[in-house]
Amino acid sequence: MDKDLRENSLDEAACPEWLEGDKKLLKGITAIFMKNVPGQMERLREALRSNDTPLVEILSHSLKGSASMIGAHPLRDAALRVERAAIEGDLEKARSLYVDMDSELKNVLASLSKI
Amino acid sequence: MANVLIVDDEEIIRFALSAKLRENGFSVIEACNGRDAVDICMKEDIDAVLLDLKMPEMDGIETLQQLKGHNNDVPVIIVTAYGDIPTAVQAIKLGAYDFVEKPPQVSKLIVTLNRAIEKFELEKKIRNLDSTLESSFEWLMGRSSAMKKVTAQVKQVSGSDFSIILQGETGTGKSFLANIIHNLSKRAGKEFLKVDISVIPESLVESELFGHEKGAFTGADRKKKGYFEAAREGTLFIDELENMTPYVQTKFLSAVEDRKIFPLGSTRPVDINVRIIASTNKDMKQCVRKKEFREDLFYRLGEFIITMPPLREHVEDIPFLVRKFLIDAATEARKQIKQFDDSAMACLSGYKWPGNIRELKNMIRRAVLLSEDGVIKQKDIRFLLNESDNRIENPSLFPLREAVVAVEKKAIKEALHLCSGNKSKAAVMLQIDYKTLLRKITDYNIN
Repeated sequence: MDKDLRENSLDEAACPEWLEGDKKLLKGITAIFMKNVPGQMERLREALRSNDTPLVEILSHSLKGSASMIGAHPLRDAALRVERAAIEGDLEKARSLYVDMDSELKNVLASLSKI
Repeated sequence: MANVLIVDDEEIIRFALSAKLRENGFSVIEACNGRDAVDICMKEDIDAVLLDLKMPEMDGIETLQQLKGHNNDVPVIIVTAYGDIPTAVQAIKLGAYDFVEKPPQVSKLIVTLNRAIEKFELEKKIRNLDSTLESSFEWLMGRSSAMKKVTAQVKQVSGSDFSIILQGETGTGKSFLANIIHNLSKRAGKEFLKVDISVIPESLVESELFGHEKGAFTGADRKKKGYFEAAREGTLFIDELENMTPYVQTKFLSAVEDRKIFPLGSTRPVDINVRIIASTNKDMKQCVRKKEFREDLFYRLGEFIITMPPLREHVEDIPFLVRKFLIDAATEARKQIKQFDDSAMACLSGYKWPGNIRELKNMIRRAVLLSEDGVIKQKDIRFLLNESDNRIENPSLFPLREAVVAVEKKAIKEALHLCSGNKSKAAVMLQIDYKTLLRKITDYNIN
């Protein structure tokens, strides 16, 4: 799945290693990911706009976790960069990194929608 | 089925972990924040916690601290996000059992959880055993601060292989305590042999302790194992240590130092593996000062010394001991004796108990035997306590040695009285030699 996501393609055969081939569970977590993550991204954008550093940190951390659960490592890494920028208090940097993160999320959602 | 609490603000993680744990036979409770997790832990029987570190409001570290504060031993496994290892390490330092990274490899998580729960269960068992041991001790020994001190010492030393000297007045329960120590030790399944040095004829002590070969001396018609060998891997309890002769002390020291003995008539050493517990009603340090006991042997045997308090120093245990002995005595006498009334109990508490717990126990046996209804009253026991020598009238109610001592004491007093204090004449009258009479006068503290 990692490889597929990096290539922005996701098919039904792909499954993160930690799920040990449990496609039913993959379907479940994918559904939760698609239900929750876009809203969290929107809240993150708002938090960046309103300079709410603690909220930026928490939301980027959560998004990082969700991305790692479905094996979306590029998104996970982008979220980690935003989180670190927030920890450093550099919201300007976080805002610029958010663009990458948003782009990675779009790739993931596109791949997931193909399942 | 083990109960696992998953604490994470992320629904996706709670969902995935719950599914995997349930699939592996766990029962799962979910909490989406630290505060709920602490509440659940206080209300539910939780065997392990999977805890996220970064959560809004109360973070994982604070949650961990609160959980540890409320339920100190529940194992907490940190489920840390990518890049959060330093915080996970901090959590371990605060008492978390382990950490796994998100997303956790399920098989590794299950192994970690099972290990944590197993450890938790073991710790719970140990706590339960400890509390059972505590109440057993209370039941066996009493609840006074004096006896609690003894209990604490027994707990400290029983698991070790230290040689122990139990000192205290006669009847304070030294033999009983030695047995408890043995039963709590790693030697519990092996022999506990009691040797009363004072009742073994001096000429036989060496053979009794170390054994002998066939033909080692006249009458040794077969090979015999001594106590040291017979108690192999167990405990050898030497009662009345102070009665060990200088010669036996030397042989004994050599045996415990070299962990080898030479049975009489043998030149081949035999390895020994016994724990020694010795008891005495004398102050052994004083015996050492008076050169009556070897200093090196005293230090060798007294690696740990426990002093049993006389009953008059823990009279608060008397009501408890009375209840305990009353049950035994009533069972023995097949009688329905329910209690001592308040006046009888007050009478018992005011008595000095020179014979200590043994005297109390025997007094209760006798009172139960003589009692006609279910309650023992003051009148039923006053004469027992005031009777200076009921051992002479009712010798079968006492250990033979105590009865013999009481009879000897009485005979010597009467002889001295009849001979107007002339000890030579009294010795002739009693048909014992003068030196023996002098020794007994000193031993029995006869004026």
